[in-house]
Amino acid sequence: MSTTQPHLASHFNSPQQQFDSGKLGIWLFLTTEILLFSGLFCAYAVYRSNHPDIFAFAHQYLNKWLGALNTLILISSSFTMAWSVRAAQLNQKNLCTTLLAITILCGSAFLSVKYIEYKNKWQEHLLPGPRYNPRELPPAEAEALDDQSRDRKGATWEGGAASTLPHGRSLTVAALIPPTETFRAPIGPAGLNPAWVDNDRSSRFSMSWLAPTPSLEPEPNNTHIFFGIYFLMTGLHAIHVLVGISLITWLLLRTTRGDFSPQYFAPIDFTALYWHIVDLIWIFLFPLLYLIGNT
Amino acid sequence: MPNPLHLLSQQSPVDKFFLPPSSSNLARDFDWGWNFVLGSTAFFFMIVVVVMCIFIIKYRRRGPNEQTPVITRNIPLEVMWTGIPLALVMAIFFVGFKGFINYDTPQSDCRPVQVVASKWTFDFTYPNGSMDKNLYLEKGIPTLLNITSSDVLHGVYIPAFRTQRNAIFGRTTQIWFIPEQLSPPFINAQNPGGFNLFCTQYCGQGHSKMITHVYVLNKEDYDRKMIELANPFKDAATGKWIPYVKVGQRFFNQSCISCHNVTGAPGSIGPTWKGLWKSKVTFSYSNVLGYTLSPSDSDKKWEAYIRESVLDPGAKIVAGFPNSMPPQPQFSGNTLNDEKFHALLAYIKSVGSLPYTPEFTPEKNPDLFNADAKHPYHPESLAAKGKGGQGEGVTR
Amino acid sequence: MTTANYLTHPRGIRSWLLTLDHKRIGIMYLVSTLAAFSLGGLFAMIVRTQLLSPNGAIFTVAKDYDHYNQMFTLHGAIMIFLVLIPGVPGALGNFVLPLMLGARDVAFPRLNLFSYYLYVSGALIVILSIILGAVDTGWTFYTPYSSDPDIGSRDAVSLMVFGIFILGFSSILTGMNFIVTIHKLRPSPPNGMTWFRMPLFLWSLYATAVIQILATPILGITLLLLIMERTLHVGIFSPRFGGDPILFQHFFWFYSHPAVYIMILPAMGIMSEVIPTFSRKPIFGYHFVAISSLAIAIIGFLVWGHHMFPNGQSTLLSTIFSFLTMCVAIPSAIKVWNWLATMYKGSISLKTPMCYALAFLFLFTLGGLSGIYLGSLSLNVHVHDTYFVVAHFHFVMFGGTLMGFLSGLHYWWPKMTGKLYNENPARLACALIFLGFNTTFLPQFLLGSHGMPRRSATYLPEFAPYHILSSLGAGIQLLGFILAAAVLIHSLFRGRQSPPNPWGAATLEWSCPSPPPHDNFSTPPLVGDPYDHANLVWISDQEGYRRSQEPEARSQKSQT
Repeated sequence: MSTTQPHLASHFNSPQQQFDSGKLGIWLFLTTEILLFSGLFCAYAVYRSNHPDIFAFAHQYLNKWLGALNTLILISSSFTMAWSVRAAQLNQKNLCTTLLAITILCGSAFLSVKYIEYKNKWQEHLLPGPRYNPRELPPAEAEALDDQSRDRKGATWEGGAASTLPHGRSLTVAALIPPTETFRAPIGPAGLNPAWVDNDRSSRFSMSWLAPTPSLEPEPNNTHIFFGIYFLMTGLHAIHVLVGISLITWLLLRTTRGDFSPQYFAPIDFTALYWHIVDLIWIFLFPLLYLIGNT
Repeated sequence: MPNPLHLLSQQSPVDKFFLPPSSSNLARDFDWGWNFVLGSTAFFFMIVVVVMCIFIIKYRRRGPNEQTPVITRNIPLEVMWTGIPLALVMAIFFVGFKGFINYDTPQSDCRPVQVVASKWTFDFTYPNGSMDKNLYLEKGIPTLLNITSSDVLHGVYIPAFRTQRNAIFGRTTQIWFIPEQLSPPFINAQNPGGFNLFCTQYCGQGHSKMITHVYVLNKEDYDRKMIELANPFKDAATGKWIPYVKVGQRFFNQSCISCHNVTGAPGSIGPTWKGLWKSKVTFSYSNVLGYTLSPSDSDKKWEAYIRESVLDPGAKIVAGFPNSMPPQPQFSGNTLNDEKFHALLAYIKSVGSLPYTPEFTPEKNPDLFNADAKHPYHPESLAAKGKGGQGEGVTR
Repeated sequence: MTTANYLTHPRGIRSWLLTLDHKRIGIMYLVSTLAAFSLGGLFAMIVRTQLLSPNGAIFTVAKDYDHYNQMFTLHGAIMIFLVLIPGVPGALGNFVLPLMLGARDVAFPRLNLFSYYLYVSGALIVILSIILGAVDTGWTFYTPYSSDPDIGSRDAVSLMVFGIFILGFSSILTGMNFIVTIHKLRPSPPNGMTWFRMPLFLWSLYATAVIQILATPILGITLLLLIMERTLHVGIFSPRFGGDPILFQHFFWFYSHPAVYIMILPAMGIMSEVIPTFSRKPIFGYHFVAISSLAIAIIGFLVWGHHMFPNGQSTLLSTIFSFLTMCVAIPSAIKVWNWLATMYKGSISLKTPMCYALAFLFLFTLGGLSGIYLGSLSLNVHVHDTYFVVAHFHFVMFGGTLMGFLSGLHYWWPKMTGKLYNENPARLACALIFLGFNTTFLPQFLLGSHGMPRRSATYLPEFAPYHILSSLGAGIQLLGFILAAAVLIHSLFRGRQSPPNPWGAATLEWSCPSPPPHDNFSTPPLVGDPYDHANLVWISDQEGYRRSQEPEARSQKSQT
């Protein structure tokens, strides 16, 4: 029996039973994955409804074009992954190999874009908790800065962040410049639209009328919570992408070795399901984090 | 005058076996519900145990191949033993719901008492602004406790009143009740009397010692106690006036010590008070553009800054510290509270870096140290001045 | 006997450590959970010894109370995460499930072994956290005490939480394995295992696995958030950084209340096997018992808020949660009535498993009824976070789950080891445990209703008599457990050889030899009614029961 069915484990009666078991197993696993993320989505919902101002303010620090690019990359990779399953079913080994390779490339491209975004957040001190301490970035200056000069400045900030005060609070940019200039209130993100602040927000929050500089939205308290949620959600997602890339690399090796056939392609099928879930989660993350507030 | 309600709340011996003395309006409702549930659960438990014992004896095995009747279902029986317990638990739910609505809906004429739980004490602030570690209540007066915490979770639990709530940092929770029985009187430190008030939410090392007392007093005793508490400048036992620094130190120990220190040790939640007066301060946040504070600034500016930090702590945040301090309204609102702030200020100055000369020494202010003299902040003097505010709370 | 069984096929330590055999994995789980149980019991004894005196018998000064706090935290965390949650499904479930189902193994044997090693690594990390400065947060890890080292616990909380995070994944994988096995590996018709021919233990394991899969990921993410909160101050749970500590309680109890059913459902399943077998009578109301397991699993997800009535939850939420809590009492009540009805006109044999089952019935009923006080809104306000709660969950978790576990252990012991233990000492151990248990926990109901808060290292002198009685009971239990362990260990060396079916049970695991062979059933077994005890006859020279007719003949006969 084992010679005719090389991939059939001894406790199954038929390949179909084995495949069905695996399929049910992977779906149950994906359920737990969704539930794992649901805790974060729930935290997001609670804080978004309790502090809409934090989310409306802080999301402007995110670059929605990079987010859109990443969405596009992941959707394409889902397509190539689904196609590779079909290729394995039709015994098109070369096509399957190519498609898996493209999927890996897309996953890596996604992570590269994510790296660029994270690096930017790190340099701008857009970090969770007490490490949150963004510097002001006037729109003109933000556009003028190229990557190289960002790097140079970044080195300064990191030097500053390395030394810490008691209570675990990092020595921030504020501490590097004279104390009389250490005001947090007027700081706004680069893309802040003054017209929106004037028309919409000031009517809802009468305090911003009375503020000394009403053209700039004062930073809401605890803005760092947004970045806590942002890093947790995208970070956990990035770990899943990393695991997905490793799994697909393993599939690629097995495909080139010729392990799969129209009779046995379960690992590709199951990994594809996992990859689609990872993609799906990003499709929810993108609008929830990048596309909020401005209507 | 005997209150007819007291006759209702007399506990039977069975109640005493299960429950502590019943001493509030909530307790009366509770005890009724408790007995209802006790009766019904005991009844069902007895059925299960008795039936089980009868079956064990009556149907004991008499041989290894004994044949038994095949009885696998009886729908009317299943419906009955689903339906009757369901009806009963719904009744219990309703009893509990009714009691809970009462517990959760304070009467509108409650006397408010502010409770701040911190590791590992309770601070009670009374309507007249005075503060104490024990809870004093007047019999028959609906009282509302506004509860909050200054650090981790705590609980406020008074078994005699059958009520509790958690104290949560950053939130105010409430319980209310009408005390209906006088508490056992205070005799001495070994035999403090009163009802117990426990912290029920685990809060660390001192959790098991976080117990204080609730004294339910009649009107005269309560008023006397409030006057005693309201004038912290006068030692109730000896009738002597207390120096401001000492009074300020007492406030520090009551309200501030959980976050600030006067030793300069690192790791406190708020800035240390050692050397605070006229020190170099850097703010991470200020609500006034361009605000600075330096050692060379005037006494007046420093006093204003400290007053603002006490009453509106979020207005200016010293660099390196979280914006976590709750406002301390017990230091404002009337002349007496204002004077309490000055006592606190005197204490801050005394632990400052600059040499401090006490303003209120027996030489400079003999009145303050003379038991017979009319101190300007003596409640009687204040009442005579007619400035109001503190008088209401004291004589209520 | 010289025929090869799973214990001897093959031999050698390596063959055990790398085994894919569900029976061996079950035995390894059994050994691990019993070891963890001893450790948790040790901490419990320290706790009870401390409480012998109002000012503490061991830790007498305030700065030592931290050690007491660590003791009850470790007792709780170890008993819940290392013993009760993996105990019945991991040890007994793994061993019994494929045998009862008529399968050769669980669906994913490698995953099963991986899950066991996740359990071991999680357990080792938890134990490591004890060595590296124990944890004093209580097993509930309430924020901000656990999440904010500046105002709360400075101990190795992150490490222990990480260990429990890993244990959670072990639980998830076991649950996945069980669901897929029950769905896909049942012997196919004709004469196969249909859903309503499944023994009730399998129904309860199925319901348990559903909860494990749907609830445990939430624990995983909650604990991950707690670690992040502790290390990075992300501001989700810690109010000093803008977070909401009550959100943690919602997340935590969203897992931990269903987890209570992860613990109790398999024990209920054991009851549904043991009581019919030792009453020699089919289970009464099979469908009601089976469906009530699922009902508990489903309603159990909707009641978590009853842990938070006085914690600042809104009145509306509290009311809804209280209502649903009252509803979840009903399926448990249905089970109790059906077990009682099963005994009616039965042939009741008081063998050790049945003694534990009767103890379960007594203690679980008492514990369940005390839960009604806690589920009722206004009564909960008085007894919330007092010893009443402590007594309640010990009655349900210890009196329920652990009695079920011991019943199942004594029931399947001959099948696992192939040895019979001595009945009388085992019954005496059961009696000691039952007596000690009641002496320990009945006074705690009174302590709680008189207002003694839980998790206290010291107490007011007026509570002393109850506490001393309670500690005395703990001593009696210790004797009982030592005796029970001695009886079982003695049977390993001196026990008589067990026949395939010593009790007269009709489920499939008793149709193969004791201990079973390596591959369980070489041909798919013929499945009959799992409670068809009348078909079994006592063969006195084998001291066991045998089927008098094969199932297909029975089913044809019953159709005509």
